[in-house]
Amino acid sequence: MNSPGWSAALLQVIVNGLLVGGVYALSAAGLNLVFGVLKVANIAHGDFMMLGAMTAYAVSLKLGLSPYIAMLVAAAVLAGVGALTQRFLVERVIGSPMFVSLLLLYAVSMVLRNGALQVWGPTYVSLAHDSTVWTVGPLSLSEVRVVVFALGLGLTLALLWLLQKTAFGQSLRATAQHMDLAEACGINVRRVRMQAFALGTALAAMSGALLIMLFSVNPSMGEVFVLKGFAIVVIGGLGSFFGAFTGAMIIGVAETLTSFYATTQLADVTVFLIFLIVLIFRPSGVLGGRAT
Amino acid sequence: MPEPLLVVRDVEKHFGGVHAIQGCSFEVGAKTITGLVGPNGCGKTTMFNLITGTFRPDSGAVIYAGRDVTGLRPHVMAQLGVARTYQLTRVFKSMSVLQNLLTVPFDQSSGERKQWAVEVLAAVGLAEEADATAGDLSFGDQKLLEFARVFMLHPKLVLLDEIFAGISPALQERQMRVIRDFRARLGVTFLVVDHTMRVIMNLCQEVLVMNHGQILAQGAPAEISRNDRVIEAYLGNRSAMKGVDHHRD
Repeated sequence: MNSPGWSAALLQVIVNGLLVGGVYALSAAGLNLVFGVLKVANIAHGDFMMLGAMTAYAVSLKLGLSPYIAMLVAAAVLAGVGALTQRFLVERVIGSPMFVSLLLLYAVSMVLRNGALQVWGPTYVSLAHDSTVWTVGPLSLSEVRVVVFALGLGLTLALLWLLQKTAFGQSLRATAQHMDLAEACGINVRRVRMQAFALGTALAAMSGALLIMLFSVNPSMGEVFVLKGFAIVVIGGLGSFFGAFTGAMIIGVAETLTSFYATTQLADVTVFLIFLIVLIFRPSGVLGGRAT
Repeated sequence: MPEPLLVVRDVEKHFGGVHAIQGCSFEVGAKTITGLVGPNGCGKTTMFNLITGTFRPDSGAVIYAGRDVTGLRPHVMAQLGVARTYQLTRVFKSMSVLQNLLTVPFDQSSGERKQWAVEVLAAVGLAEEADATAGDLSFGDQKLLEFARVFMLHPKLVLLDEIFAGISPALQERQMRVIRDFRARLGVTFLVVDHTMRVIMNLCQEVLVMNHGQILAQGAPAEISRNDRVIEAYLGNRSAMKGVDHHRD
C-alpha cells in the first residue's frame, strides 16, 4: 500500500483530474454568466458544447486547421448561433416563470442534439493527437493536457477580467443585479442579454473544442455535460465564478480518481453523488455561495 | 409659464379592467420644479412609468423636448436625459456607492465621469460613503444614493418619486437645496411626486393635482391650496395644507 509507485500514481491521477477541470471550469463559467445576467438555466448548454466540438472537428478536418484555430472558429460560429437563439427565442420568455424558459431551452436542446445526430450520426469524434510528454519529478504530463488546461484557465480568467474591469462587464453586472434599474440608467438590457448569451455559448463551444483534444465525444454528449455543468456550478455556489472554478476542479479530480481506481462507468455516479452530498450539507455551495 | 419641456397629451392606460390613466394631459415647463400630488393610487407612479417608457400608453402622446417619445424604451429615454428615482429605492446592492454611479454609461471620459460622480456625491452628502457597499447603507443613505444616481445621466428632466418620504427633516432640507441648486446652475427640470406637503409647497413653482388618473387642477402652490376641488378630493380638510405632512400608510 505504501510503496512509492502507489502514491506517484495517485498524484498523477489527481493532476490529470485538475487538468481536465480547466475545461470544465470554462464551460461552467458560461453557464454561470447566462444564469446571472438572464436568470435562465440554459439546459441547452451541453448541446452548445457539443456543437462547438463538432464544429471544431469539422473545421479542423475539412480545412486542415490546427485544433486551436478550429476552437476559435467554433467560438465565433457558436457566438452567432447563441445570439440568434437569444434574440428570437429566449428574449421572448424573459421575465416569465423559470419553467417556461426551461421548456424552451429543452426544445432547443432536442433540436440541436437530434439535428446533430442526423448530420454526423452517433459516431464518436476526437481531435486527440500524440503529443510530447514532459516528465516533472514523478509526474508525466502530456503537452496537450497542459495546454488545454492553460487555455481553459486563461479564458476563464479573461472572462473574470472582462466582467470586473471593463465597461462592458459593468453593464453585464448591472443587468445581473437589477435589470430594471440598469435600463433606467441608460443600459440597453436587451443587447446586454444577447451579448451575455452569445458569450455563454462561445465559452461552451470553446470548452467543447478543448474537450475533444483529450477525449472522443458524440452528438449525445450534451446530455451528460449539461448536468455535469450544473453540478459544478451548484457545488461551487450558483453565481460565484471562483466557486464554479473550485467545483470544476473537484469534479475533474473525482472523475479521474473513480475512472482509475474503479471504472469509467462509475465516474458520473461519483460526480452526482458529490453533487447530492453538497446539496444536503452545503446547499449554498462549498464556497458558501459568495457572489462575485 | 415657460416653454414646456414635457407635454403629456390625452394619455390613456388600462391594466386589465383597471382604467389607471384616463385621458391625462399636462405640461411641465422647462427649468421649473413642478409637483405632482394626489391620493394614493391616483396614477402618479403609473404616469412616471409612462413618461420613462416602462409602460407604453394605450393612446395619447408623450412629447419631450419637442419630440414625440411615446413608447420609446427606458434606456433610450435615459439616454435622452430623462432620469428617475423609484418609490421603493433601487440600488445595485453589491457594488460600491461610487460603482453605482459609474455604472451609468455616459459619453464622457472615465476621468471626467469619476470627477462628476465625486462632485455629485459631495452635493448630496455621501462623499464619505463612496467606497461603502451600497447594500450596507442605511435606508436614508440608499435614498440619497438613488438621488445622486439620476445626475450621472446629466439629465434635462428628473422625475423624483417620493424621495422625501421617511427621511429626517434635515435630509429633506439638503435634498431640496440640491434640487434648487441643480436647477439654478444646470437648468435641470424636476417633476416631484410626494406626499410631504411642506416640501411640495416650499419647493415647487407649479403643482399638478391628479385624481382617478386625470389632472384635477394645476397652478401655483398658493392657488392649489385654496382650490376647493383639490381640498375635497385629496386633502379632506384645510389643516393639511398648513405644513402637516401627509404620509403614506
